[in-house]
Amino acid sequence: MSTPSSQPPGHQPAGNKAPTPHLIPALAAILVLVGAIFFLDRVTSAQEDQYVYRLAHIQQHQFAVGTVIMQAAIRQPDLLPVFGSSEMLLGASGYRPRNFFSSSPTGFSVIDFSTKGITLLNITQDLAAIGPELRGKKIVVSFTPDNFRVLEVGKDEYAGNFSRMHAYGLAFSPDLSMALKQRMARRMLDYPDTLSKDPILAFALQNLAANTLPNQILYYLTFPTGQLENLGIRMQDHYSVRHFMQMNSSLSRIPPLSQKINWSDLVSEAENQQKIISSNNPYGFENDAWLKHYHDTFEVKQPASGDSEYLNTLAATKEWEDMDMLLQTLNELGAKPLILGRPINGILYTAAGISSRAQQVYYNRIQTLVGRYYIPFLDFRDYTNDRYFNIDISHPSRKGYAITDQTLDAFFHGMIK
Amino acid sequence: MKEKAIIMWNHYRTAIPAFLAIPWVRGILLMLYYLAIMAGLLYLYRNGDFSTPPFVYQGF
Repeated sequence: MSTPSSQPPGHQPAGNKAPTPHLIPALAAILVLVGAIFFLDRVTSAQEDQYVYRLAHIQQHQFAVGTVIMQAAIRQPDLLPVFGSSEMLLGASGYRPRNFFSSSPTGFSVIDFSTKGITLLNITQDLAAIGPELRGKKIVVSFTPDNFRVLEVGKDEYAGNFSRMHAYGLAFSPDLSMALKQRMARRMLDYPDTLSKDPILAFALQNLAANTLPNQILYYLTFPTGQLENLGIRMQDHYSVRHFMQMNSSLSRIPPLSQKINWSDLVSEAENQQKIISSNNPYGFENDAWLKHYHDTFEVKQPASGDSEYLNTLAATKEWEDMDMLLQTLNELGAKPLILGRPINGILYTAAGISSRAQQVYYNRIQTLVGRYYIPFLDFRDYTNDRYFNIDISHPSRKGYAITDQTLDAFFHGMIK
Repeated sequence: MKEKAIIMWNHYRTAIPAFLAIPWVRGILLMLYYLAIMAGLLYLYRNGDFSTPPFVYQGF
């Protein structure tokens, strides 16, 4: 029998083998990995803080469905993030806020995360995913009265603007109240197609929506998994942005160029330009659009003949609930938003048989809703019957954009409270 | 020269396994092994699915 002194160094006698030889190395590997991920997150976030200025004047799908660029934008004191829809994107390109403020004429640029057809439900998820970085920060949320003319946003619009990263960010947010997450879950489950690729997300939303004690327990049991998924998607977002940065290394920031802007002159000039190109109809459509799309089909209805349908839809639309949840999300995250509505195109609405009295019902209700949250709110209702504010039912003209730019400038500089 | 090579080979033939049998060395190697697996998985799944269904905006 061999004695211990004759054994090679490091040899463990039989019977003394560690019971779990892989456990500690595996745990150590996990710890190292987690540390590396957090370190990488910090490093890439710092790089995005530098890069985000080059992105302020371009639109890219990844930036709208991801979160890291949104967070980078919010961290910058001279960038004003805007979340809206086509009313920020279509027509009059020189006056659009993203372009107008691209050279920081008054000390800031607009970074526009608007996408066509995006819904209030999508925007709420965007904001939830940004999370506590919103605290104390100025942002703008834009919408139009047209949102409230449908009973519910279309599946295509919602799905086309759905971000699984934002949905996970909301569902597993440690910063939002359970009540708000439950309300959002019930709405998100109205669009099951968007959840078909994510069983964890679907499971969490179903348990959130059910609101019983066993369901809440199940939800909390999935919470760590959801947070891990959040972390994984976040790293993928970092990678996508980094890849974009490498493929577009020639993108540069538009050099800041300070200008003194006479806003009333700018608005007058915009209106004069608009009058020239919207001269062949009384509704404010641009001449080409009127001739191509509306001239043969536009039908003037009897006064107030559309009130009943409009008011019924207005009363029943889920957009009020969606707007309420958006406002509650902003409140809970401590953001400092401007809620920027648009005026009803009163001339078009009246021609469509929706009377001023019915239009006022919308104005009263949106004012009451936003007013509950003590959030700055503007909707330019004084321009309801201004022929040159809009180019159609919901998109601004040159004049409309110029007034929007003036408003954004005033908000950024603290003149709107 | 050949004898020197044989002596070195015999030395390392016993020394390396003995070194690898040291618990802390095995532990570090196992840890690196797991890290390599995880790094490989991270590399494989570095591209996320951020796609959305095609959607044609109709609100003109």
